[in-house]
Amino acid sequence: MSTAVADSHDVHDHHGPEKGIKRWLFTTNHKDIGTMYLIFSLVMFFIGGLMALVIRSELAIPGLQFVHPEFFNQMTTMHALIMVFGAVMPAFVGLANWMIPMQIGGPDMALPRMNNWSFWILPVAFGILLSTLLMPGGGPASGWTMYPPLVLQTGNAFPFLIFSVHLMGISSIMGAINIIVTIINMRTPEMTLIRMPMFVWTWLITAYLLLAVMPVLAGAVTMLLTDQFFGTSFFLAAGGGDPVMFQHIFWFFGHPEVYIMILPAFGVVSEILPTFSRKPLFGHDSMVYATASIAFLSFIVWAHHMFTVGMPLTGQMFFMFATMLIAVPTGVKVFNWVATMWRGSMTFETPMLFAIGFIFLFTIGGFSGLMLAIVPSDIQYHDSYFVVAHFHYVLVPGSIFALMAAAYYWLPKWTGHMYSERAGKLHFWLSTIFVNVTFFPMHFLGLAGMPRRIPDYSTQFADFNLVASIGAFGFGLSQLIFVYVLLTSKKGAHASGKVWEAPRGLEWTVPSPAPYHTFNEPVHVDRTVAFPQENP
Amino acid sequence: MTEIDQETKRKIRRTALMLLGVVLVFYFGFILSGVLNS
Repeated sequence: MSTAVADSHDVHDHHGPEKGIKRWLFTTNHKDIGTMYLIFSLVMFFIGGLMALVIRSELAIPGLQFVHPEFFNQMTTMHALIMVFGAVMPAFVGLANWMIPMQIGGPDMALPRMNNWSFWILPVAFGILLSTLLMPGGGPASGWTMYPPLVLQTGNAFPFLIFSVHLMGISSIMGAINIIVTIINMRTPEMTLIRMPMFVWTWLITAYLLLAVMPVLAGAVTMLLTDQFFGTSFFLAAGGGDPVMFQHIFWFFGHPEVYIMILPAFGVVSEILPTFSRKPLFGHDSMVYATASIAFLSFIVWAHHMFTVGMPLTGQMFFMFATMLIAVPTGVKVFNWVATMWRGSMTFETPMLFAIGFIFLFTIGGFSGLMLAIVPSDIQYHDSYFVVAHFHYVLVPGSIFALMAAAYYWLPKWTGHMYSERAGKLHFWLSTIFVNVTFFPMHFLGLAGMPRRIPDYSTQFADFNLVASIGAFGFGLSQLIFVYVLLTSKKGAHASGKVWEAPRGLEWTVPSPAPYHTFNEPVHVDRTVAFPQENP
Repeated sequence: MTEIDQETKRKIRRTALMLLGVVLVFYFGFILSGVLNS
């Protein structure tokens, strides 16, 4: 039960939301904006998922079946851009919007009007990006990495691609500034930095990563634009430029980007495991330091994406060992999660299942990452389906599972009703089975030599490709159960303020559903309730 | 909307502008490094 000393958050609820469409267009409320981010990301998840199914349909059997190779390339490019920038990142920003102010005892985000802008830029950006599929020459087809000179062969879609990437970057930067400013300035006085919940900590570090690398991506694509239209030769060898320089700049953004998509997932898992193990998080402070170490290391490993491009042996050695070093703080995290569960009174509600699934399957992705970090091995694996298997293990049962865990964990707090546990568990088990059916055979395909980003392949790869395609359709259909859970989420039993048996954190001290305005005044909190790392 | 005191507003503005400065330095810094490199 909540033992917050002051719960003035609901008595100051002077005004509710606006009525109709104006509520959503002009809202400055962090909960409304969080909801919009989450719904937007779910829509993008299904659009990107449909593109994945086009890819898997084409690859189900050898030969060209359904789509032209050019369109296939557009699908791989758009699938990646939409999943990275449209689904995973906005989903975590949505969670940040909903939960960070409540977890730190603040009334709202520090810059609420900018918050509204950060969101509404996104539908415009993705509207522009998706519209390129209807243009003469089709959408961008050079992969999400946009390497020149290939990307400069894109047709009419090119300037729209660059413009939409800029818009996504502006949205992310504004979101990151807002999150940092909120965490630094809006905490209730008793919430010192080290006492902050892990989700808030991981997001603070993620926001700094975003601030550091999104301008780099913006700078790189601006230079692509000037190369194409304004006669510069930043990346054009014919004019004295260096195409490899783009790869360095892109991956200086791209590798921290990977951690932008996984650090908040670590935060989510660190919130859920203690609740359902009925124990405080093991090693809270070491988790903070491990997260910061991962963030630091993410800046000095970018060239492991480019071992086959060619670089001095010293460079190869440096990037190989720096990459392998990331396993140390990641190992600290996995150890702490397991130690949190150790001898806990565990129960296996849907969020816990997704969190445990995350630990097992993300670790598989981590191990294949270690294999790819080893230079001589990477020369074999590079640009093969092994890489596709690796990053999908990190992103699907990694980031996406953590997002699902978070959605199930906080849904009763958002809606005021319990979701269908039966449907949730079915969703988990089908997702877990099919995600492995889809992506595990890709390891074998890669090791056998199947290259990525091809619409056709040699017949010896047929069997595993068919298995992967069946898995992909199974995984896609399983996600409809999640839609069912959301659509019926208001029909379940009423949720108490605390929702679960043993949650800790300020968000559980407010009623469910969370009032439109929370923590309008600094809240005094019972330490044992609010600060997860302090033993009762 | 919640009323925030002037001191906090000032801190919010200062932190936000500082972060915006970092973003602009990174963006134009990278383009400048590209110019100097080509």
